[in-house]
Amino acid sequence: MIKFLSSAKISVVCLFLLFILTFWGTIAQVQQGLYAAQDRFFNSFFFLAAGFIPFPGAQLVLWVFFVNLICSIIMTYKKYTQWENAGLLIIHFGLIIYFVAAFMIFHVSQESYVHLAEGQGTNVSTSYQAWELDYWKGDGKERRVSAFDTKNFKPGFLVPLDDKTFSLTVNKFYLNSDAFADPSVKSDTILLNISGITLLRDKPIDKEKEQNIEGGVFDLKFDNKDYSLILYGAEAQPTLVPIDGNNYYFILRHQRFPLPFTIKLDHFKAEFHPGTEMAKSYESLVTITTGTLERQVRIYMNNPLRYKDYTVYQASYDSDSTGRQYSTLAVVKNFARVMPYIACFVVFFGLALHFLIQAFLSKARV
Amino acid sequence: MVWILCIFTLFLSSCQQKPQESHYKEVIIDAGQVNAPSAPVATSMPAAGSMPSDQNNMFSWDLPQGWQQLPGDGMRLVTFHLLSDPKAIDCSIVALGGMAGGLEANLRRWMGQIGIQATDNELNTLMSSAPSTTIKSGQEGKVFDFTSVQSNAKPSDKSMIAVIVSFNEATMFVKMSGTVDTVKSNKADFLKLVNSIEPHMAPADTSSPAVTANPMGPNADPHAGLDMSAMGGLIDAPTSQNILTWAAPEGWTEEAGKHMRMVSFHEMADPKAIDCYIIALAGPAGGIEANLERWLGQLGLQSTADMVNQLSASAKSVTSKDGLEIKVYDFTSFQTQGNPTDNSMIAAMVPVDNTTVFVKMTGSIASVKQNKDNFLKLLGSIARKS
Repeated sequence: MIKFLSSAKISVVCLFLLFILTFWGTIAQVQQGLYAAQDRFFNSFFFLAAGFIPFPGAQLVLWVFFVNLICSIIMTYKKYTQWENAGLLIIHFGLIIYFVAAFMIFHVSQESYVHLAEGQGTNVSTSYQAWELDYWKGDGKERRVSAFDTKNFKPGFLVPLDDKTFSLTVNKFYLNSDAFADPSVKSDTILLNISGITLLRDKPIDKEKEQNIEGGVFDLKFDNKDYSLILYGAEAQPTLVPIDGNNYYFILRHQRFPLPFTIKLDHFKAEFHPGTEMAKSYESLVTITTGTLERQVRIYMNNPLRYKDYTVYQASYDSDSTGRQYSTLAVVKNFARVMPYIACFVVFFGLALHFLIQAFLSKARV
Repeated sequence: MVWILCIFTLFLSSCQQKPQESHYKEVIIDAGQVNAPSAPVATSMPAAGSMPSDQNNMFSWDLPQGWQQLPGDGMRLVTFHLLSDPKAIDCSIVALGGMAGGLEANLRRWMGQIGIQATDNELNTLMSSAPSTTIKSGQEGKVFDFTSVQSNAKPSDKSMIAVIVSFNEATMFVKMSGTVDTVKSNKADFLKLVNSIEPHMAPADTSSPAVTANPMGPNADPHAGLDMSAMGGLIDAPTSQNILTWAAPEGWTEEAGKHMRMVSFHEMADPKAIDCYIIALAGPAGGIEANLERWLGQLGLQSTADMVNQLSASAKSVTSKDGLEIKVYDFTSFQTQGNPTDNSMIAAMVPVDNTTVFVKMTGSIASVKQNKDNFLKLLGSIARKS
């Protein structure tokens, strides 16, 4: 079995499939968007080509390739004990680092996005799936946001607030919900909601996590009075509640990740194939501000912005009803980012060593 | 080795979990008055129209202690209630283009709503004696406190207090209605709210770039030259929302919609000769008569009821590509004594779904007459988007 799995034919097939997937996936990003293409080609074990032909995804190919590599090392380990094969050992070690890097990047990296219109900027990115309950005091261009992960929210959960001016207890919480603004809804307490929502209803959880919209009813207590604060994940604006002379804003939204820089979209440009609405290319000109330093960067396909552990890619774009265009930039935080480079260096070193040894041995034989 | 790395990875993975509570600083850089588009509320939501809109960006204010802010609905930019008793008062901010029907007409309407029968003299007294107040940005508004003319009313009778502030191209109404008792007891907070209002649109009497050059002069259509991106959506309308399709007549050039306009057209030979455009405003958009009256005034014609009636009677109908009956008002026919270079207009109105669509062509009398056939062709080509 191990002998079969260590076959070089499997290696060649895997390399060929990876070549096809990389090429296909890169081309598909233009039409399907970065994340849809990633999910289909790289994060899957299988996907359907042309809607009905099963095709192996990169996950499956990489796992097979990894097993193939391990098996081939097991089958040929005796060979690696000889000093003249030290280069080969290093090459295989480098390949293992590649696989470990891929595994870590896939499971540990943090993926989020920023969605900006021209002139807009932010210093936080938005999670695709995770939610949080946020509140802050006073409105302005800089908010000191207190955030609570909603993972533990269930009826009766007392949100542990630093601010003791008020208390917040989860009354109802839905992982996917619909909102209704039914004026006939009766409530013992005053309902607080910026959008006029009076009722939330539970919905079955969608298997596409991004499709779920969390919603909750919270018991808000201040000045010895009880209020029902209704927060729905699709609301664009926070609910304002004046408490003790201060304006507090509450919102349920996708989790925000603070970035070590502020990113502002200066200009977005999309080019289409003539006579079609098919994007030929699109790019974002952004200003990155870190402390007092500012620099302008052009982000376009295969030309991401890299800053420390962060990589910012051009992901997609859209426009609103007024025709204003928005650019979506994917933000990936990945502390294993350097591992592929290390692996590359190790493989290079192994190859160089192997060639040198072989050259030395052939010269010695002559 | 591999297993050690896997375990290490899982350990790191668990470390990555966000603590239950976290704090961060969020910096917001606005692009003018633009909001990120909101995710839609569930389609089954019966009050989707009451979701917060970009309109709120037009003004900012400080919410009085004990008040609750609710999103705008219809023409309202925002609604306020008391936290302790949401039904006690109903306060709102509304902004309308131009003079929004005029002061006297609005006062009469409000008085009718609260059951006050006032003579012309009493109305004049109310208007002349109205105290002034200023909003945060310094603009002066008039306070109309109807409780002051309800001396014989019971505390539970309906009443109202309103502040009207005029800007260059818009009028803001802040109203609080309730009973005589509740209006009186909340008047101080109401005035605090008014004093805290700050507009985020082009201030009056300045050459702010938010108000673009208007070929029709200072009395021109308030919709024509406003930079709606700076206004944040002055009027409750799906601005520039392309709900229609059309075909540009031969000899005309089509320009992409900007701000409130779905589309603009110009004469190819002389781009400055005429300015033709299509806009859609929510609801009846003030009604036919009010708009005709306003347009007559803008062209320096007598904006009397008789003229409005004549104009209405002379309106022709054009059937659009998909069967819409579009009423066409040709102002040149009332300018027979005018100089060919005088400003003129031909306008068409038609209700489409929940909006009123306006197609207008402005320019000199000669240019408007010369381009009338093309204008009618344009109307004929209009169809609702499927």
